[in-house]
Amino acid sequence: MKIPSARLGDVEIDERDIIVIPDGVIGFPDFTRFVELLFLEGAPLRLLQSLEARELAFFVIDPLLFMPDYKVSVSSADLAAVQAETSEGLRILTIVTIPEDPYDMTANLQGPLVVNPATRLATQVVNHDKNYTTKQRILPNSQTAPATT
Amino acid sequence: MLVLTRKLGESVTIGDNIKISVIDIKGRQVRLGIEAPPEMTIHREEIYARIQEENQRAAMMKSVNMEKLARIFPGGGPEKEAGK
Repeated sequence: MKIPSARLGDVEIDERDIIVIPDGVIGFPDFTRFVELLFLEGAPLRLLQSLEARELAFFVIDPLLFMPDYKVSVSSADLAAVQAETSEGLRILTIVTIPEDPYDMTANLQGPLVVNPATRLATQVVNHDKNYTTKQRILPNSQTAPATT
Repeated sequence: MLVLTRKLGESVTIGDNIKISVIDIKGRQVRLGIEAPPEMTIHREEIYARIQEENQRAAMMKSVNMEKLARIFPGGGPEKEAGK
């Protein structure tokens, strides 16, 4: 099927790739159907595009790519939300905020998305670990911008 | 809003299966114990609000400079060089 995306134009997707977030992303309860799109070849970011609003999309990233020891404790309520028996096999994605200078992009480690690949259900959970913030830098602080020619 | 006064060690119950007890009071801090069914989600309000705010910021992507973004990941980025 074809879906419209404000960012990418019309995109052909496989219906089997649809991710349902029954409660929506926190603050956006009315939007429950998403698809994860590759938007930039070679970039670790993906675009989580709403199927219900072409304007609504979130950049997401696997937090383990920049914080290998990142942990989320998934409650039984969270497990129930994605219809999983255990937390094994669940995918974690974090939502990325991209400011004016994209190099300063940050990931929200306090509100990760937990995705059950088996049921294609996801939920945004609250990570109570105080070591994590909603604005974790993804790229190193020193502006060693990659060579651009 | 229903307002109740409770002493240390006292509780309030909500419905049949939620109980909130005052565990400790120290100056301006109150420790609460909450018993609720596991399927109920409970969190500190300010964390929830912070996540909501950050989601709203993340959703405002019209302003994202895609060209600059593409320059940050010239075919690789922090991810392992994907087979091209």
